[in-house]
Amino acid sequence: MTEYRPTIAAVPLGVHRPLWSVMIPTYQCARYLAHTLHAVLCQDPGPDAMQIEVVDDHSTDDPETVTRDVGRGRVGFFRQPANVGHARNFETCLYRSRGHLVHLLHGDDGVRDAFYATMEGAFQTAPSIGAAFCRQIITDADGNWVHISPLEQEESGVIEGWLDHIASGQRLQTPAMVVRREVYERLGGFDRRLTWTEDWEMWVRIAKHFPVWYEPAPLALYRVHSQSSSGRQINTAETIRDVRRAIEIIRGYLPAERADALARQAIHATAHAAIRRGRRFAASGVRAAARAHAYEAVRTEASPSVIAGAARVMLATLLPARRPSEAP
Amino acid sequence: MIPTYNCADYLAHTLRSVLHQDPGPDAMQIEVVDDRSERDDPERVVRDVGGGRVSFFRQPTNVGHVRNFNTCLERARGRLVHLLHGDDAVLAGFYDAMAVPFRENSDIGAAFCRTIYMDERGHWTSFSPLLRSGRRVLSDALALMATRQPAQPPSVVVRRDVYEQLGGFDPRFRTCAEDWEMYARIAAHYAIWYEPAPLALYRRRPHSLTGRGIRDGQNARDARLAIETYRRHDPALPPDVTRQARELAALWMLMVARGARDARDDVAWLRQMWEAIRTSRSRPVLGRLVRESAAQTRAVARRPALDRPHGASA
Repeated sequence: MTEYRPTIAAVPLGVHRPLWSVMIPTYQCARYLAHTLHAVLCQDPGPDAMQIEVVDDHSTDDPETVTRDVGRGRVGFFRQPANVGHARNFETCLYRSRGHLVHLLHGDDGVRDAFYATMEGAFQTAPSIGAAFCRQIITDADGNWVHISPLEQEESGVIEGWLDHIASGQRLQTPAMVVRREVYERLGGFDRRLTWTEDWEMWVRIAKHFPVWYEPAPLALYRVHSQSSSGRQINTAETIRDVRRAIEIIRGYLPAERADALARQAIHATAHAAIRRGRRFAASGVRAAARAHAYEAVRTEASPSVIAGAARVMLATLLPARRPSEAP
Repeated sequence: MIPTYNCADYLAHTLRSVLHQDPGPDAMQIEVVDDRSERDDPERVVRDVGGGRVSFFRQPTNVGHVRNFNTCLERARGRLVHLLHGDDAVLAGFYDAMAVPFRENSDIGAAFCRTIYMDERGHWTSFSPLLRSGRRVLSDALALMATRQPAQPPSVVVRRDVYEQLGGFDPRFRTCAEDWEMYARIAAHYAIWYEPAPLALYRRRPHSLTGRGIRDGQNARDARLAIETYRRHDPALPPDVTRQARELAALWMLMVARGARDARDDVAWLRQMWEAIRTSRSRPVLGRLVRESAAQTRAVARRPALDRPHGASA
């Protein structure tokens, strides 16, 4: 274990171990939390089989009341003494989990009926897998379904060629993933150098050491809203710098003969994602964020297509805003 | 009411999705109305999956899908009619969610939810666009129905007395758009309720693109007929609604042309391009027409000399 990867100790002997640990990290998302808790409690197999706990990163919007009202004593609550950032809060979730299967479910995301039964079936069918994930539905702030994640494989089962696939770019959201606690005990927790892509790095690390199962049914819900931690960090393009750090870490997990090609794919995809985001910021008149993304795109990959795309974004920030309300 | 025609492979899935939320025979009639399928045996599926709960009616001869839908309406005894094609399905909670608006508001003639599109194997591919956030009566339902096609058949529930008042599906439609015309007709006379949850599953099958009507342009004639019919239903319809409806229809024909390009059906491609330009010459239509022509030129140029669409025999 390196200095960047926290050690996740085994659960002490004598502590009751349920099959499931549903760990629910929260930060300023109390208004969505009731919905998240309902989705879990609808399929609750009881406290002997499932630990359910909210781990709050020192929010000011009182998730404890929601947990008490909706959870009625069934859901545990832990509050960080000070705000530690979402990656470190995930780490606390892992420390506090006691079950064999850990599900990290953000307090603004959700699961559909039969998520837990279906995912449990995967670990029964293939006990050697380290993790399993399902297809995801992306929702807007109000919970309306907007998109669906790409279909990775037609049938449920161990996913072929997963290491190369996941190493070439982030392609899934945390609520879709269930990991055996033992895997975290062996590989360590989320990498502390990362603030936004810690989940991606973890999925690649797991893919390097264990088979991973895919369930094509879309059973997890991922909410995109401006208050989410991804929403806040996106404005400064810090996310793009974080992806670059993750790519460098991930390179070390890959077989030498494919490492460069896969890293290049990830870099290319990241640069183009930065341009797309920059273009959206420019179109909505958020100029500083648009420019920050143009710079980061070129820093990520100085290829002709990226430079041309970045130049267009910069140019767009000089034009008058399209919406009159955004005009200076 | 579940109309079927040569789709028995999917029917078990359709029936199970309904039977899972079956409130019992006193509250729900479930019936398969088969248009004399010749390639498969839907009656056996009904017997195996329905277990006596689902009744079965077979047309004495093949009557075409529009007349088969009308047979469904005639045979329906319930107050709320759901026409669920034998290859589509509903999600859990569909019937509960769709019954509520009719109980709460007696003006509502029809209600529809968002649609989940699925492929041949039942994998979800996308959701129909979100029109409004929140469940509500649509204040601009007629314009919405005329200028987009927001509702796919499995997502729509209609009061039976609405069909009694307005009549059934128009049998002049031979390939498509009979549903589009019906929803606009209902919207012209009744309030329409919108449920933003996607609770209905609509199957898109690739071969539906190559069906009859694509090569001879019948699909385009049907679409234009639907637009003409609205105008007659509601003479007060603003002209830009008709214009937008024609644009929507033309863009759809260009989408069909794109499918024909992928299938290398050059006759169908040309027909759809021609029908699109006959239907609308709006700027988005012309733009896409140019791009589609360029794409077809590139696609044809890439074809190996021996790999012609109707291939010369070796």
